[in-house]
Amino acid sequence: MKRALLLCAVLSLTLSFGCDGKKGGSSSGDGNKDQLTVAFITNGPADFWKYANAGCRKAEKDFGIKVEYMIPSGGDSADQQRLLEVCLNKSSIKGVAVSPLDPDNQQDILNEVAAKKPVLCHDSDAPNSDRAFYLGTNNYMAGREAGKLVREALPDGGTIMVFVGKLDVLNAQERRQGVIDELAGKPVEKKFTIDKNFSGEVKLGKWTILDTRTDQASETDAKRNAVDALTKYPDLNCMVGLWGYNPPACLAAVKDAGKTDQVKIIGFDEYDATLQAIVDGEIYATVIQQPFEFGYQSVKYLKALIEGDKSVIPAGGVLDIPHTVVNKDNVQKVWDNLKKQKASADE
Amino acid sequence: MIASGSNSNSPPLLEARGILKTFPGVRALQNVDATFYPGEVHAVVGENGAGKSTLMKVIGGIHLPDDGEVLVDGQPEVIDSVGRATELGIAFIHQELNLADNLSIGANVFLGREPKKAGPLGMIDNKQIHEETEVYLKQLDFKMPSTTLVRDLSIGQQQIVEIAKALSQNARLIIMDEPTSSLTQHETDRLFEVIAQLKSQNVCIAYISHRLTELTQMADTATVLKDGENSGELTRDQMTHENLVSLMVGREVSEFYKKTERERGEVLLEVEDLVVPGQENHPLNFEIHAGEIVGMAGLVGAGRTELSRVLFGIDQAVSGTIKVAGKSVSIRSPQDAIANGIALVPEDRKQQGLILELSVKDNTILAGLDRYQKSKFTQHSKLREVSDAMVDKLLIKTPTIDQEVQLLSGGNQQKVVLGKWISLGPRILLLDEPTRGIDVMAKEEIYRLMEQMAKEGVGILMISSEMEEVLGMSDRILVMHEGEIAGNLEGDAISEEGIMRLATGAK
Amino acid sequence: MKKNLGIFLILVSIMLITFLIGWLKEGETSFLEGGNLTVLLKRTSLFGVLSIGVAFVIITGGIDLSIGSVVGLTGVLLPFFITPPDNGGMDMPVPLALFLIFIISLSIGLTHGLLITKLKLQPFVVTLCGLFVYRGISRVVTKDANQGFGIGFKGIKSMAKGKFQVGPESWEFFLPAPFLILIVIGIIAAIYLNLTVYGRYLLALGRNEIAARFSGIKTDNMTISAYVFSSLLAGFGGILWACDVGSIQPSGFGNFYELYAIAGAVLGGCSLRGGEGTILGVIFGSAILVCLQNAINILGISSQLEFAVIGLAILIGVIVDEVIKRVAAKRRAIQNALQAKLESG
Repeated sequence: MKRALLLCAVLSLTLSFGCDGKKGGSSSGDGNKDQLTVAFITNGPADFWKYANAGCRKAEKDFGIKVEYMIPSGGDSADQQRLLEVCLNKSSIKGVAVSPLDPDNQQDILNEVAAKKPVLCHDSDAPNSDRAFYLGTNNYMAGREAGKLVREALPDGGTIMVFVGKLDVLNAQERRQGVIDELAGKPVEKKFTIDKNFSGEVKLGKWTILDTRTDQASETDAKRNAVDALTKYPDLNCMVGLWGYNPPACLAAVKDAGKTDQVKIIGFDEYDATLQAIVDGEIYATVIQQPFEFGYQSVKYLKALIEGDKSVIPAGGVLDIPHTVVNKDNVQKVWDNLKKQKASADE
Repeated sequence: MIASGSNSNSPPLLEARGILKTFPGVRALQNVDATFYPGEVHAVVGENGAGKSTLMKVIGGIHLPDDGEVLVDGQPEVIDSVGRATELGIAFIHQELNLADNLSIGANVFLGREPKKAGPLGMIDNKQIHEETEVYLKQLDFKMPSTTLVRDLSIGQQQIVEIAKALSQNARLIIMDEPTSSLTQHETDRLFEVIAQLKSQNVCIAYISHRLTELTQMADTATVLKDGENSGELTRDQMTHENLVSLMVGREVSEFYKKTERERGEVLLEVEDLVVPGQENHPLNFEIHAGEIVGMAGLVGAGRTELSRVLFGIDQAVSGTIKVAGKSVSIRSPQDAIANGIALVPEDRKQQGLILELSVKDNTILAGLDRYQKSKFTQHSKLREVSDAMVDKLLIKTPTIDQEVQLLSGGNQQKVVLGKWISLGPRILLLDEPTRGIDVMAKEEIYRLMEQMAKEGVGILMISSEMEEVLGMSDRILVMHEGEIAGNLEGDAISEEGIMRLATGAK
Repeated sequence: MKKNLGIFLILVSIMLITFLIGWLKEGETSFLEGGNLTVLLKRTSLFGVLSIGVAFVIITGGIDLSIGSVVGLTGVLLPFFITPPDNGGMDMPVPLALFLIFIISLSIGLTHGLLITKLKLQPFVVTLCGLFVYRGISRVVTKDANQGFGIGFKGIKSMAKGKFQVGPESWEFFLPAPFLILIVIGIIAAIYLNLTVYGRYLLALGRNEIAARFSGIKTDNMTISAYVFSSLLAGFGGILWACDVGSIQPSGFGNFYELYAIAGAVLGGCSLRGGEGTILGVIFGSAILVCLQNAINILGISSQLEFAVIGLAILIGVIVDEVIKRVAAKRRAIQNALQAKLESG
């Protein structure tokens, strides 16, 4: 009995310590009980999400809203489901923005939450669920942008290798298809088809994609793939890295082989190593998403939905947050801005 | 304790004939005979390694003999498991008690033989367990209820539970291996009462003990073993200390304690108003001189071990001062004690004294490693030198100094512990039960060593529960009773009765 | 119940404290409302099944670190077996799939038990290797592709998702199906542990294996049975988790669950030294973990602090428990001394 009481005292201390220790980037709750609260759920504890958190923080200030920023610490669906269940039952949370890890299989819980409060998907869509709409980067268009960069870098044509983590993930397929379609010179259409034959050579006029290599999301394997490619195709002209860690891995391999002048690297996302290499002129360019906008826009649109304004729902249920190209000309500006965002998320 | 004399007119309960048992490299038993009759206390005596435990394990179904036969009620039997022994009415109470202390008394008594309720689930009938256990406990005049958890019992009480368990198995022969080694005087007396009662119920007790006084008090007959062979049988009337020892070692006992004339030097250790944790009301005062062996007598639990722990810095004194050679010192850790020339040979050599898996060498030099280093590197040749010297000085019987300590006999293990401390050249040597559970030869060698050290000017404090040892070795005896020093006996004042009176608190 | 009163009170107080902090600080009352209580019950049940399994092993003085990976393996295998081939599955009938998973879990436990008792390997090592191996198998079998049921397979999913309304509709309180499953498993386990000879043998051998063996108990068989229970319940738990979440990442599903299960069992009074533990206590222990996890989100404590808060809370709980035990032991020692004095007159 005494033990229980003692433990309670200590526990309440621990918990209340936790409550005050909100610096870690949760809410900036100023104790206003009537303040509108929404939840923003990521798909794991990646660096990428810090920019989204910064967007949430800015939206908090701009719209007078409170945002609960939730990370599934284990980075898997079971953890994400736990957070969704909290959002479902915690009555002060009036709306939820989530990046579903496994859209097809998470429909049950997404629908359950959507039945009680507005839900929107960011970063990754669950089109068959009852979410209000999706906002994020159109990966196919981002892929086409990368294709444009390849045309720019190799105006006289050449050989290309594509590197990615896994090809059974939708964004990888879409990005790859975007690159192919752009190089083939296809017109941009709403409906595009993904060629599921991922391996082997693809001839596209002046350009040839020699092969697409996957590394199962392992950075060491990513580098090994790049090294192997350079050995097999010593005259390779270009490498395209579809996932964030691919461009730095490609660069490392190219540097080891002393072929920085021969091989142009085009990548995605904003890894510091990638940005630095653009500054140094070793990577041609990278296509980045705008995670800051994911956070900011999610909060903005959730507020509207909660207030009953259905008109904000975009046609087709998809709101495109456009990608940006980072090259030698704008890299310093973009990078400074990203640093600022990261710092504001850590406040 | 009045022994009723051996019951040799009734037929023998169990006979072991020509038992041979070898282990790799060791002939443990050779052509050993022993006959056990109902209603007798049958002592099995011998030095460590003489084969008494092996013999008991053969009878108890733990070892199968290589040759020879065991007859129960005149019928030859193969006792190949503990279960078979139990069926034949043989119970074995080991020195380390075999109870699950998280369970109740009743659950332990019936462990492995639980009565079950009717029905397909095989549920335990706890009611029947406790009812039946209570009957046995009552028989043994034991007051705790059967539902008490064993962990709440003292060691002595747990032993009674083992006996109740044996009775519940209808045991006719109960083997007790060193049953009194960790009992208080009161608990020992209680055990002897129970043994007397078992005798009257025609149960045979096979009793292994190093405490010869106990045997002379209560054994009806004794089988003495030496080096794995029968060395002799003693009946009740022949059961004297001298006879037992001479059969065990083939020598007269009077050679045992050889006290020599020694010079008593200056005061080495002085304890003033020292308060030991747990004994807040009893400040202690005493001193030990150079060249003096001071015995410390008292019952188990009188606070002697606690005192030695404080003197060696394992526990902290509550208050008071300790002076070494006239200077007040602060002893807050064993390192402090060692720095002041104090060494402790602890009571439990296997846990506190040795690292059993390490070699003789590594154990010997363990406490002094920092002395044998040169710019932080251990000097291996120096270590071997020190270790060799100790093996020679203490006559440690080991093939090489790289032998694992756990493979040595108890006596030689204890010598390794002594060697560890002697190699440091201590001024004050604290010995806690220095000869517990070791054989007569090793005992004698340890006594000789103590004499020699005292002669060299070391002050020795010897805590011991063995009366003969205290009487035989001490120049002076401090008697503790419930945390107090109840008396300081010197010269002619030393007597067994005097010590017992002080130790039990009689005025 | 007397033994478990302490942990029960701790559980209740954590709930009350969480509620009070939430209410006073932000007017948030949902922690103790029907919907959240339903979720708490469900999650407690899912973890509880695992904790009961590991409790058996801990009672024998062993440990099972493979639980999380077994959860991952069976969680992956269920959808892999029963979903249609265009989903990457094998289109097996559900009963056959369940049977196969049962056999697999059983063999895992049996292998652990045999290695530990017959080859005398240390439980920590054997099950640690299991942790790696089963995780690897899950990933190889599925080629690391996410597994799931989509929106189909309502029947089997209802094992985890089914719920039964209790009280008026406005309460929104349901008894989740896993809770009923936990109660059934809990009662069976408690009867086995406390009322049958086998349970007593487990308790005895956990504390003093030699004593048990010398009492004629086949200790090896009992130890093996404990590992089999643990793996079977982990396998079954994996099915329940898979049905509940519906989306299984082969590389991450069930990660750390063995540690939650062990923490729950230890909080619930199991001693890692063996020989101690009650089923009810273990269930309360799991409930405490689940409540803490939930409280962190409900109170809006940063997700980054989650592990730290849970770890600290368990550590403090165990420290307090140890201190109280020492005080009690001291008190008992004094009583025994008094008793001895009385007896000796």
